[in-house]
Amino acid sequence: MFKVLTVCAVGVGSSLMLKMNAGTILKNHGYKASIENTNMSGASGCRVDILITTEDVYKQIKNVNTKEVVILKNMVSKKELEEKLIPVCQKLEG
Amino acid sequence: MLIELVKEEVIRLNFKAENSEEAIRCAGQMLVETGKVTSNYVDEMVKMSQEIKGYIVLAPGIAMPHARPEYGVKEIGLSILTLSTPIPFGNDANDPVKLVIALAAKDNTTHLKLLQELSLMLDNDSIVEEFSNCQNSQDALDIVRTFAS
Repeated sequence: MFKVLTVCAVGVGSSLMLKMNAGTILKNHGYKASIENTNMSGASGCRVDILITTEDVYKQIKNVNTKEVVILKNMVSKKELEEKLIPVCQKLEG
Repeated sequence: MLIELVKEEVIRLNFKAENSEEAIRCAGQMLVETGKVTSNYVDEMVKMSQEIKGYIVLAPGIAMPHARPEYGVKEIGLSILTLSTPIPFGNDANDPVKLVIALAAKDNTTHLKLLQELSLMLDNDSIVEEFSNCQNSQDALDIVRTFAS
């Protein structure tokens, strides 16, 4: 079971899209995960396995304890998310 | 959900914006005029886009300005704006922006459904071009219709 956190600046738009897309992708690959979405300040102090966000937002997130980080360029591309997220899951499993 | 929210009043094509703020304000104004948000919400969208440069640019050529619901969302809604000339929004990976979708979000299940449909529509390599090629609002509505469930 992976703990996944998706983060955007506001916390009601893109992070929620990422949460839904990540949920679909992980399920399709047979991974169990609990996924939460939040904004930058909400991310502070979180302890997770995988953090998913964009570069601009990642630079401003402080004090997050995560094993792996997935940085996306295109926040709506399921393809990009899948290509970056699945190797990270495999690594964490291995 | 998408098709219920996208009406002619929230579509504007080939707007000539000088900069990202003008584009965000134009898209936001449609939400003000249709009673979805207060003008304060539009100010907040602009502020957000300046504070965290580039974050609202979701995908190549696509910006989705939005702010937190408590800044003045009355009802869930969105507006669609295409720019006659692409404008840089401060996102190296995805600039310049040609399609602007202003979002008035509420934290609820309707909102989830909308975001799901929106993300499906925008995860599409030709979507910016398709909207840019629209001659009128009806063309834009036709595109939205193909992605609405």
